[in-house]
Amino acid sequence: MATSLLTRVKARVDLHTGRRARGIVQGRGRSVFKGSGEDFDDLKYYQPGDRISDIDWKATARSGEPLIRQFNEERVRHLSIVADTSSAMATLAADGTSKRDAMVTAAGLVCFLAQNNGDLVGLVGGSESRPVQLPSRSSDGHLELLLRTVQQSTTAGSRPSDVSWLLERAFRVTRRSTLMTIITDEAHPGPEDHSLLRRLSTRHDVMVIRIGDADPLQAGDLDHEVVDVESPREISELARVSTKVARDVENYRRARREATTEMLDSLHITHLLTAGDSTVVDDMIAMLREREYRHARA
Amino acid sequence: MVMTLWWVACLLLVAGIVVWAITFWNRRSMHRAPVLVANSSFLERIPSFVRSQRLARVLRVVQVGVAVLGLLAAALLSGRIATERVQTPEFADRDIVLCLDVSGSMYEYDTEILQTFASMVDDFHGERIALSIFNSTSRTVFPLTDDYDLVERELSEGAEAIDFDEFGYRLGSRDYPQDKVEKYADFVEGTRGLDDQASIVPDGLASCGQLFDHAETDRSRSIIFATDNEVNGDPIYSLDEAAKTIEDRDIDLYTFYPGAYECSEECFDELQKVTEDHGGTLYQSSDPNAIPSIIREIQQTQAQKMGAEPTLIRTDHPLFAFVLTLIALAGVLIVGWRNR
Repeated sequence: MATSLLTRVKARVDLHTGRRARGIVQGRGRSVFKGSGEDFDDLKYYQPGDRISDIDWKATARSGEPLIRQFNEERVRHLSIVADTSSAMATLAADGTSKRDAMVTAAGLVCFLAQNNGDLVGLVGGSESRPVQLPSRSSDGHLELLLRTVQQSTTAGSRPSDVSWLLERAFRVTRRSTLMTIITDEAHPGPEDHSLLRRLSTRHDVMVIRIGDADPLQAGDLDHEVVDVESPREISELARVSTKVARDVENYRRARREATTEMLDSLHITHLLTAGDSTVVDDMIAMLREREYRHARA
Repeated sequence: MVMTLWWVACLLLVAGIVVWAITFWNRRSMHRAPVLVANSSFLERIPSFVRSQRLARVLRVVQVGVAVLGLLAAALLSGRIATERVQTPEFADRDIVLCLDVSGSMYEYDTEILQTFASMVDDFHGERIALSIFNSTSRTVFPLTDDYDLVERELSEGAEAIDFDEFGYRLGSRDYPQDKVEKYADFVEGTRGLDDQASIVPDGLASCGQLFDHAETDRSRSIIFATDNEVNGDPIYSLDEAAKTIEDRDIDLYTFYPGAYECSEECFDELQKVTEDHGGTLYQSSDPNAIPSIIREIQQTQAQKMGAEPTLIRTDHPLFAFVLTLIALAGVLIVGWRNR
């Protein structure tokens, strides 16, 4: 892991999206995250100690007095990443890549956008017994630390998935209103998290990124056993190759996905379901574009 | 039932256990890196999946069972299950005539001789046997035959019928049921053709000698002759003449003498002299229970004389184990193919 994670994500963003990405991520004026933080409030007289760079030279020229631009108190925006670092995320994604890599890339993309805007990014993750939390900071080092923390706290030996606890925790520790990116997997958040999500979405601007799970039957790869990270048990080849079982499994998963999609839609939460690390950047940029478009219309 | 190559069977079983042990200890390392997935606990709620899992488990148990069965059958097969029996091929060319004196003094010995031969019939392969009884006249109960069903039946019935203390019954000291008396009467019918005479031993022996047929074939012929030699009448032959006809016809004489009844030493002396003069052998015992061992002795003497080396004949019985192995193999293949 010689290169920094952030650099790698940047390279991925450039590589995968080219100019299309540059449009949304570059320039203060056109950022997707453009919001209340940039709101110009007032001009005030320069006081010793104010930042020289904040002096509005045109206004100073007009009035003869040094004037500085004053912004709303929330000058920089706060972003938070709520990462599901349970063992379930250390498994195979639908496209055959690691769900953890997909999660790090997704978090990396958020960090990358934040880095461009100078936004602060915090992290909530871990489990009830080992909570992980990083305060909101904007430095490159912090962002790198954040990505590393996400990467390293997600192992097959982590605690089992408990998204309800995670959302509760995120609500409790993130007092300030943030743009909250929740990264979890296909099976979460479940219908039981509905009220928690609604509570979160009243305070935060919530985005949910779900990473698809690999097919538990893996009928095309009978050389390898399939092991569920949370409940290891043998799945017989008979069950894995059966078309009927495959059909029933697919139906169940589709129903589960649709239930979650429906719930998030009803809460007006931006969300996406991506196949894994290979598609997460494209999917996120598409989602952010759509979101920008929606915001612009609103 | 013996296992000829039992050590091969053991070796195969040990090999089977070793293979099983090796695969058992290495069962984890045989699996290549497993694919880790998550959120698959819902599978248990899918009926078709649960059914498939259960079927797979059953198939696996069946597979193991069939494999074990196949191993056992293969071990059994390679162990060469066989039956062994001792056979003396030359011995089969034997003709034996049981020549029994059924005068009242002899009944216990006759019973033992008949019982012993009845129990030996199972071991006979090709021997022919005849039974002739005599008192004042001779009666052939059955001629030389290798119909062992008949032989065994006749010998058993004869042993039962002759087990009859005639003197005791006549004197009233022994009592028998009516059908027993009739059986005895039927059995000894024809042996009292001459009134007031009994135990015409030389004539009885001579008529026993007449029972041998196929004089031109080279067969071993022997007479087991049981008598107390207490002649009570006028024989046509003298004992010596009778024994000579026997010897002339190349018949071995095995005489059994149970001991004196009324006669003095001279009866025994005559019997011994005549028997030995004509190349026979005399056995003497007053204990009826010694009969089986005497008959065995006769058998051995005869076997030695004929140079008949007893050979061990093994007959393999591979069919059962073979079919079982085949079925098990087919089963393993079918189940294994079904449950890859």
